[in-house]
Amino acid sequence: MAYKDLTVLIVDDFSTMRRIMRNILRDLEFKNILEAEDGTAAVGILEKQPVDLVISDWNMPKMTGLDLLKHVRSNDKTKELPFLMVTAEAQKENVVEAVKAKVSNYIVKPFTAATLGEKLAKILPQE
Amino acid sequence: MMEQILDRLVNGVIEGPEDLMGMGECLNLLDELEGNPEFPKRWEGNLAELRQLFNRIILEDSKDPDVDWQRIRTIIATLHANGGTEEPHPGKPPAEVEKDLQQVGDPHETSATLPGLHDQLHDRGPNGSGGEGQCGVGFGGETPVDGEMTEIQDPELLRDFIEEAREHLSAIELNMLALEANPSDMEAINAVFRPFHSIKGVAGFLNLKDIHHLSHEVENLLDAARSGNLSISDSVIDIVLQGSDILKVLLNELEKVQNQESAVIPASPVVSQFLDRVRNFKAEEPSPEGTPVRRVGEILVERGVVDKPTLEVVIERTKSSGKKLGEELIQEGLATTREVSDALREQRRAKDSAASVRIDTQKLDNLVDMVGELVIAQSMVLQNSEVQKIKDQKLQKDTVQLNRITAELQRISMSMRMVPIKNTFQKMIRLVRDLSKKSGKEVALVMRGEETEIDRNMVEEIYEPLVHMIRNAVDHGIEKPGERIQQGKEITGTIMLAAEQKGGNIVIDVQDDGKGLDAARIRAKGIERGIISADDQLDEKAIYELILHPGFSTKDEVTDVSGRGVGMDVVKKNVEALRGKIDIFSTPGKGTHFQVKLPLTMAIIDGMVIRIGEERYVVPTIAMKESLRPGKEAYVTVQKKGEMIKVRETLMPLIRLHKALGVTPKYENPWEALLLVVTEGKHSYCLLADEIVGRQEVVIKSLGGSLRKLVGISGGAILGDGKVALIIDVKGVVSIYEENGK
Repeated sequence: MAYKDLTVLIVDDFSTMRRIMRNILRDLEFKNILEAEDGTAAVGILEKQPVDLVISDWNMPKMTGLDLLKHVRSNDKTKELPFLMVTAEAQKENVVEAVKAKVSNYIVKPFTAATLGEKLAKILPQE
Repeated sequence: MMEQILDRLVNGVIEGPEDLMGMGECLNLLDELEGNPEFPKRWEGNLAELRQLFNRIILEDSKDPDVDWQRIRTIIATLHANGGTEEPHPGKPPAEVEKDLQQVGDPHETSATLPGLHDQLHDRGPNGSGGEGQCGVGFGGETPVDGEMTEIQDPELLRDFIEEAREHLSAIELNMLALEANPSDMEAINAVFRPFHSIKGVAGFLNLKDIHHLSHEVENLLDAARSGNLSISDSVIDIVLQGSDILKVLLNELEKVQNQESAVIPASPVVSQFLDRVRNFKAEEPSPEGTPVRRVGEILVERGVVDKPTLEVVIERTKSSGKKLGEELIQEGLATTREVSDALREQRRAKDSAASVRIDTQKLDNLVDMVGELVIAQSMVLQNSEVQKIKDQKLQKDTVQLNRITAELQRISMSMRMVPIKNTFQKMIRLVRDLSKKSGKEVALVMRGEETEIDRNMVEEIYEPLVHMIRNAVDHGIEKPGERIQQGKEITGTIMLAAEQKGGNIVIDVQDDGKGLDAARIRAKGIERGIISADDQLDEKAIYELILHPGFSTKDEVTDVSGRGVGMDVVKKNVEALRGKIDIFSTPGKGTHFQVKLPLTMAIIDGMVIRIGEERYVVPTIAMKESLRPGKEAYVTVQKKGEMIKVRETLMPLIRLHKALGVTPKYENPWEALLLVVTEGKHSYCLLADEIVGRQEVVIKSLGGSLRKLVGISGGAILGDGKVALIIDVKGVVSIYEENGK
């Protein structure tokens, strides 16, 4: 899978977390990595440029990951965009809500590059 | 309709249990199905089972997703084919499901995974450990924290984390304050929850066990609050603050370890103690109100529905049958459904009344306003000359009674908005403790009058000024221990924080026994900063007040405690926004004393009603120092400064209020009229008015529309006779005077 050609958008309000995600994604040989510090910023980026994958935290101020997901799904341009929700063990119950809002998949913190890779294999279009 | 939904449902389960989006669609369809008017009640069991199965697969709790998946398909197929007439054996054992599975077709075909890719990815964990050794479904729930994941490998990442975590933790305390003021403030709960959540997330990745466990427990506690299962009480706030304190300590330790490049972080006993406390706390959390609630049985006995012996027998029976008392009573024919439900309702009512009611402060404000109007309307009626002509004893007696009731009503409505200042004061204990640790000075905080009540709208506004005054006292006031010994003082410095109600005001004192203010130095700095000129004659008090000037700081170095010299101007700004006043007293070597005077409430002010020409105005008494009628000789005209009045050796500018307000006065000469001495900034001024009518508490009415921005007027008030008077904003009037040239 040519991950290196895909553009991925990381959404998390905690910059250290974005950095960790970036490191993990680099391990998976992603080259084009964008960051947004909350849902609103993510919407701004999605409007401006094509993105192949969104990896978003759930719990963020202003616009939560779920709100972002709903926004993405309600927009014709991004309706089918692979969207991976990052959640915590304690909040796992909420996942059903995200599934109903058509999240592509979710991943529970903390995770390894391998786990992320497995999730991505499920949600990214196969060649 | 129903058929269409069922069709879509059948198509929705063609993909396998890996297809989350498909399952999401199915769940939505189930909601739609249930909401359909044709939905038969007998399907409810099937629907519940379907939801449970979907959830289980989605949450990866399923032991065998394929079996569950098959079950889903079977149920949906039955519902679709038979219109749901046949109950598809809920809770069928897996063995039988296996049989179904073979009949319908192999689900494995549809749940395609990509084994090649998995293998490739599995070799690439962040620490080369090769992933979690799990494949297919059921991953993700593992927490590497408890495994052997890491030693720290990216020092820069760790540094960033420490930095960011600290930043987030510092925001927690302010948000806790908001929570204390309004425990159901969702925004605030979320704002406190989030940093713990984020810190936990990162700590999980970095394998920082203590930090992870601790933030996890606090997060759980706050999550319970978020979902409404736990009310934010003082002890919750306490725990959260303690948690954030320990986290800070852990971060400090982490920083040290990181610098020494030895990655061994010993598990801290403090943390395990704290974890125990949080866990026990959750266990012992009492019922929301903690008040004993009468049992349904008691109510029924009281009402004569059942007698006590019978009740006891039935209660005994419920213990073995596991039924509720009401159910049992109805079944036995001892009470009707109606009687039980009435009793239940009464029980609920009792519960509700034992609780307190939360009211929007806006509503309280409206109530206070309306009561104010009532008092005024009453005095309008009673002062009406026609009414006053009536010489009827009964009327007079009733009038006294009416007055008493309205006065009591006013007192009660005002008191509903009052809260003890205690909570705000108690936050200072923590502040002083932290500050003294940081500065290396020993400081004790003594508090008095914590029970003094203050308008709840002012609680938040007073917090920041208090913080700044106390910071200032620790940083600039209290000396270092060595210095104190030299001065013959006790090593431990004392800051006294006191509140007291004096007349219509709340007086808050912040007093330290430090070195006092250095007037000469403040003056020099004031000149250097261009706040005053070298030939300005200022008395000591005026010099002290320079420290409240924006941007003023006598400390050359930036300190960790007071920061960068910003702050004290905020005190003045906030206090003035509350229509209050601040005074500074200081004795070199003995200490500094800040005194803040605030009105009891924001809705009513104690005002001096004055007359200028035909108009009456209200001047807030808090702004006034004195009133006087000067002699002719006290009136002087100074070049470039204009008209001045000499009040006991001090020359004060004369402000002709009638000019600022554009009315025609009765008297032009100060010695015929009356002067109100007010202080604004570092100077005193004399306001010229015709006469003082009287002193009165007035309800402040804000002016609407274009009038709101009028300089010199802060609002309107209705006087006892029902006429309107404008409230003079002394600060604004002085600024008009200063701008227009004297």
